[in-house]
Amino acid sequence: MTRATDDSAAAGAEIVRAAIAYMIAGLATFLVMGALGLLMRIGHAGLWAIEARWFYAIMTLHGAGMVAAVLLAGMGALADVLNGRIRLSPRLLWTALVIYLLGSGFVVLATLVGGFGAGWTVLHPLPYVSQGEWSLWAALAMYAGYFLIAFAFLLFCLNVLYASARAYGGLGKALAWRYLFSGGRSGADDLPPPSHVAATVVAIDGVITVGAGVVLLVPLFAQAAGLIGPVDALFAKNLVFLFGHTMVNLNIYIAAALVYALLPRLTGRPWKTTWPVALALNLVIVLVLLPYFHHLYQDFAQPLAFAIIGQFASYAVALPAFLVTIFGGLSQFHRSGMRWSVPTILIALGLWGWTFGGLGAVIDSTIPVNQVMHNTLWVPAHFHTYYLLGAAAFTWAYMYWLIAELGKASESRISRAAAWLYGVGGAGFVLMFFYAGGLSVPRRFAEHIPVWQLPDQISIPFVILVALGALWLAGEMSGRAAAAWRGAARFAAPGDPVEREDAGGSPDSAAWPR
Amino acid sequence: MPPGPVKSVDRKAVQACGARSRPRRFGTAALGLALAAAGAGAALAPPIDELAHRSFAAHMVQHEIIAFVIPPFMLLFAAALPWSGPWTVAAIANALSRPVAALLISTAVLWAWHLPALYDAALRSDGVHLVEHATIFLAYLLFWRPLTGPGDAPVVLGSNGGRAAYLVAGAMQAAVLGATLTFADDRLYSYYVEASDPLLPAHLDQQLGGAIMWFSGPVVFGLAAAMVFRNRG
Repeated sequence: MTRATDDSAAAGAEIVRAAIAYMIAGLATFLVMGALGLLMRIGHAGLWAIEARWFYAIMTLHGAGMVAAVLLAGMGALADVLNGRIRLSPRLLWTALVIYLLGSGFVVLATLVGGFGAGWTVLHPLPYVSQGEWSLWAALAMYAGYFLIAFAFLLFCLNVLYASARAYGGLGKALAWRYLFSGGRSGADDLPPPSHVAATVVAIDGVITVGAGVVLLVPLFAQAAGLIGPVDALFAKNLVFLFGHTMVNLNIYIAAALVYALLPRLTGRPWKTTWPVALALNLVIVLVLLPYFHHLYQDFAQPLAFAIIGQFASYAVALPAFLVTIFGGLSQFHRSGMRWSVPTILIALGLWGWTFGGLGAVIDSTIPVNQVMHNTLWVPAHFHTYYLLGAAAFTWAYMYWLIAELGKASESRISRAAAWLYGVGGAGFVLMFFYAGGLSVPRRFAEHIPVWQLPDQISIPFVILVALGALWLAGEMSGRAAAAWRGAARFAAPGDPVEREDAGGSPDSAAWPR
Repeated sequence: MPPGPVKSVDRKAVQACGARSRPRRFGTAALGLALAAAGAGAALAPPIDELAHRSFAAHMVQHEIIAFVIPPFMLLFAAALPWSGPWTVAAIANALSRPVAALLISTAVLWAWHLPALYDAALRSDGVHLVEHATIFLAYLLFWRPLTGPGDAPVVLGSNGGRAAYLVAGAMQAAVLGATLTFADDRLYSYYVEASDPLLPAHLDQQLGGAIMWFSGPVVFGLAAAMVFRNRG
């Protein structure tokens, strides 16, 4: 082996280890945030009176923490998916991880110690004027935390863009543009696989999204310093949703990229970048930025044109997701001869979650429906479905697979039962949210009146099922983490990485039932 | 002798290896020394040193420089020089700057000196103040050593994962302390409450000082992260 290939193998191993670190940190945060979520459900069910001040601090931490957790794990998994052809920088990955975790620490301290409880969609006089509930420093710390997390995500996205362009000879090739704009007649040689295209799409929109966040945060910090007055409320609301709504959607697309990479290995079927796939993923670059307008339907100062754009974009963005990920994923499953394993169970649950979470979103994004459903529990219902049973399920599927592959571990019936528990519990939990939303139970209320409490009470056993399933799987993965860490070098051998994206599964997947 | 770190089995052999195998990088040494000296000058000379007696926030700036600026540059200076000191000193330094020990020592020293009784005592006595600064400096010399070297493999963190965990732990303990000071309802340091010529109102001063300690963490530890991680692990 030459020094160059030796360096390449070592860097590849470092990326795998960084990926493991990202995923473990994300999973650990997910479990803690899940415990906070259970606490909130218990409070809503009337089983334990949580003081409003604490409820909102917990709610703020739970929301920010869950997004941060699943995004972090997804980033790590994506780095592993790309490892090989698109070789990210281990130094940048590790640096971004440190900054991300420090930002997460800021969020924890701002909420649990500083008492910040404004959520994330704040408008003047929030976040600074709190009527004594939290100090200016708590608000600043919260937004500093968001800034650091966004900065780390930006580093990751820039890393992906650079490496992707370098690997394929330009961003256009990384996005299969020649193939796309020629109608599939040329450019079919050296097409990036769907996971790579999706990663590049996410990275482009990630840069835009973080830019929107910076445009919002800088004036907010200047306002705190007394340099300027309050930021225009409509401007701020547009930007905060462009940032936050897009961020969570990008997280889902990261998870989809994991499915594009993993499912072929489990089913033995190729998932190629066909012309419709290339079109759908490229359309996402624009479509994912526009639906956020559906959060401003009730803001009468918002120009009508934006509401109409939001209406159409909310429907349109469902098409690529449905056609590529859901339909494509189901096609992978159908008559593949594949046997159920933890990853396939979680992916199947994720497809279910993305479908129904998406349907819930599309329904609520219809303007006349939004007049009724706006700010009811229907909204948390749809994004909990998307996240818990979509993005998170896809991400844990990849994590479980990777750790088992690296550590040469097999799974048991209990493992598969735990995965089903996660899904069944999650389904019951989110269905109670949808039911409550249908009853017009409002969101973001610390206390529920007795007539609202029945769905809250029913949801608690389901949350416990999710917790049991998640804890079992997390325990298995934790126990295998050391072996996976040592086994990272096996996935960095020169020549091997390109094969990982092909159909037919990895030669190392003997541990998996096929 | 083979290149690379050598376990300290034979002290004379170790010293001899160290003297022969470490290249002399005078440029790096000079840079490290210059930056450390600049940091010391900024921290211990006016205006920061004078302001530190009038403001908790200014005192925190001073401590940040003593803990986060001077030690890493001193280590940069030391790393460029061949080590040929007494074996016992090396053994003690190695024992104390093993990552877990160094983290615990630096944390304990930082938190101890921010206890109100000790902190006020340091401000009221030049001797105690000197001890405070010296111990913080030494504690953080130990803290940064596992990241920067110089040293043998058992001391220097050998993996990116270890470095990441170490940096996050070091940053978070300081952040927790800073947050505690920022969000404390009471004014903790009587010296500043009783000061005849305070720079800021005591409560605001304390909040600002805590925030300086807290918010500087990502800058310091982010920069450190960018410098210590390696592509090969």
